[in-house]
Amino acid sequence: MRLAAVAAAVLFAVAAHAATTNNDDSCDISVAPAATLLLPFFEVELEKPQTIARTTIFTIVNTSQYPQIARVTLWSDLAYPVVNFNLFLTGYDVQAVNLYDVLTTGATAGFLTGPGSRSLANDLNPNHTSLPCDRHVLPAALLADVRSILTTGRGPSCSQAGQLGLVHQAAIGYATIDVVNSCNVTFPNSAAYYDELLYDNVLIGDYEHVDPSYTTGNYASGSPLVHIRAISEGGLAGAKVTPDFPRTFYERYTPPASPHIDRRQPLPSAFAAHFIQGGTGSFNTNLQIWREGLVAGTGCAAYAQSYGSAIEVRELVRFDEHENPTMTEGTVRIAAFQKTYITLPAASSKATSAGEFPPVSNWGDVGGWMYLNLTNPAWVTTVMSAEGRFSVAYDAQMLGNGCSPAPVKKTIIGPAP
Amino acid sequence: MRRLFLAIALLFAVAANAMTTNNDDSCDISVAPAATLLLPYFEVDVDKPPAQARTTIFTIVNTSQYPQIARVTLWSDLAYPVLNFNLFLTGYDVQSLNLYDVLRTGATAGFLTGPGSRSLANDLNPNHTSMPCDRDVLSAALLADVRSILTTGRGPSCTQAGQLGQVHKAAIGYATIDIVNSCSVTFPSSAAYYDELLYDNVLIGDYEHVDPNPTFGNYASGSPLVHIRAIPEGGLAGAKVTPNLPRTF
Repeated sequence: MRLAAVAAAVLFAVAAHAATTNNDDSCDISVAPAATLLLPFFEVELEKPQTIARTTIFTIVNTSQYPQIARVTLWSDLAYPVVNFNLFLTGYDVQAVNLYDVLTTGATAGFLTGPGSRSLANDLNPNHTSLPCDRHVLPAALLADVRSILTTGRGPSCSQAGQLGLVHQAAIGYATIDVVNSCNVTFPNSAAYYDELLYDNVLIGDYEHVDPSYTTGNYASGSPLVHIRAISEGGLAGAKVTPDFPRTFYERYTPPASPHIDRRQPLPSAFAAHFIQGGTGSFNTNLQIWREGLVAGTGCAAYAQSYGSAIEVRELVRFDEHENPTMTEGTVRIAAFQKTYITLPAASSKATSAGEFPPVSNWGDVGGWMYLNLTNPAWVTTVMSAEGRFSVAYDAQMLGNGCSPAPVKKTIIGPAP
Repeated sequence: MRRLFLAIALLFAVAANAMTTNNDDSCDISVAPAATLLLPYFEVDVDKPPAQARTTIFTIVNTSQYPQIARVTLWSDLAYPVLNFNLFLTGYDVQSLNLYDVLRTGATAGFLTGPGSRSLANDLNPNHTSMPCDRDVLSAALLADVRSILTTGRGPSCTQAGQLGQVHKAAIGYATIDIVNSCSVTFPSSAAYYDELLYDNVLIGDYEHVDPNPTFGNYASGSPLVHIRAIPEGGLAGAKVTPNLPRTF
C-alpha cells in the first residue's frame, strides 16, 4: 500500500507539472525559433522593371552557433512544389532573399562565407551529411519553367498535368523553409525528404510585401514568417520519434508508415480577422490565406484535377461594429450563416469586399471582424491599406491551435475550448 | 507489487500524454484569444493637428458570445499607471480606439449598444458584478494631468514624487487591457485589482502606429497586440488557482 501511495504521489506530482512549463511542448504557434518557416503568400511582378514591380522579400536568421542548411521550397498557389534551393547559414547567419531577384535572375543566395568569431566552423554540425552548399543559380530552362508555372499554372516540366497553379500576371504562391541535413534538392512531397529533414528549432524570419509603384502602390507591409517548431526537437534526420500531435504540418506528404515523422506543429483552421473596408480613408483590407493543399505524393500528374483550387471553406461570418452577423446567398443579404459553397486555393490574397466573403451589413459600419472556419490547416494574414500611402500587415488571430478540433458549421463562434 | 506496476504504468501513461495537446497549457505567447492584451508602446503627438500628429490606434475584439468588460490602463514609459477606463464589449463586439482622440478629447469609448443577433444579452455574463458601463469622458482636469504625466513625467495628481515618466514632446507609454468583472477604475498596481480580474481568454486585438505627416512620416505600421492568456482559464474573480508557471505577467 505504501508503495502504491508513493507512486500515486509521484503521479499527481507529474500531472501537476505536466501542463505548462516545458518549453516547446505546445501546439501553439508562437514567434520563436523553429525548424520550419512558412511564407504564407508571395506575389512578384516578373514582367515589370524593379522600380515598379511588386515583390516579396523574406529574411531568415540562424539563431544557433552551429551552421545550418535551410531548404527553401517555392510552391504554386495550388500547392505544387515548383522549385527549391538551399541556403547555407553559418552560425548566427542572416540571409535576405528578394523573390524578384530569384525569379528574374535565378540567383538564389549569396556566396558562402566563413563563420563569425562566435560561430562554429562550417563543418561542425554533426547532423549534416554534405559539405556546405555554395551559391546556386537556377539554369535558364528551369527558371523559365518556374516562372511559367507560377504565372500560367503550366510548364514544360509537367505538361501532362492539368493546372499546377492558377493563372495571373504576377508569380503567386507560398514558400516553406526547412532545416535539413544536406544540399540536395528533394521536395517535401517526396518520402525521401524525411530522411533529410532535421528537427532543430533554430530559424527565425520575417517577410515584407513591397509595392514600389508611386501610382498604384507606394507602400510596404511585413510580418514574421510562420514559425513551426519540431517537437520533440533535435537528433538525426529520419529518427522516428512520434510527437504527441493529432496531426503534423507535413503529414499529407510523409511516408504512410511514419506519418508524423516531420514532428512539425500542425496549424489551426479557425481564425478571426479584423477588417476596415471603405470609409473616408478609402480603407482596403485583404486577407492573405494559406491553406493546406489536398494533393499528396510526388507525381505532377496528380494535379490533373486541380485539386488545389477546390478546398472548401466551411464557414465565413462577418461581424460589423454593432455585432450584426452577415453571410451571403447569391445577392440576398441574410443573417446568421453562410449558405454558399466557397472555395479558396492554397495561397490567395482576397479583398474583404470580394464575393467570397459575406457582404457588409446594412448598418453602414466600415469595420468589424471576420470569422473564418477554413476546414483544414491554414494561416491568415490581415493586410490593410489606406489613402494610397498607409499599409500594415499582421497575422490574424487563431481561435484555437492545431490540436484543437476543427469547429463544425453553425457552432457557437468563440475560442476553442 | 502488482498494484505498484499498475501505478507506475499509469504514471508513464500520464507522462506520455502530458506534453503537447492541451490547448492553452503553455508558456508560449501566440496570437490567440487571451485575458490580457498588451500594447507595448504608444506615441501620440498631442499638440499637433490630426493631419500631422503621430498616433497609435488599437482595436480589440470580444470573440465570445458573452458580454465582457475590458479595463484599459495607460502607463507612462516609467511604468506608472496614469489612467484607466473600461470598454464594455457586447458579445462579438469590436472597438477601435485612437489614442489621439482619447488624449485630446478625453472620449474613451463609444456609446453602449445592444447585442447582435448571435450575441447574448448584455447582462448575461455570470462573472460580472456591475451593470454594463456606458461611454466615459475624462474630465478636463484629469485629462490635463494625464497629458502632463505622459509628456513631462510630472502632474498635479502626484506632485511629491520624482519623475513618473520621461520628458518628451509626444505622449509615450504602453497600455494593458484586461478582462475584469466590473466598471470600477482600480489599477493593476493595486491589490484590489485582483478581486476584479477575470480569467476568460476571449480578447484579440491589433494596433497601428500612424505617422500621417507627408514630409516627415507618411507611413503606418501594425502588429497584433501581445496576447497574454490566463492559465487555467475561467472562473470568478479572486479565485486562488495557482498556475503552473514559474512567474506571471
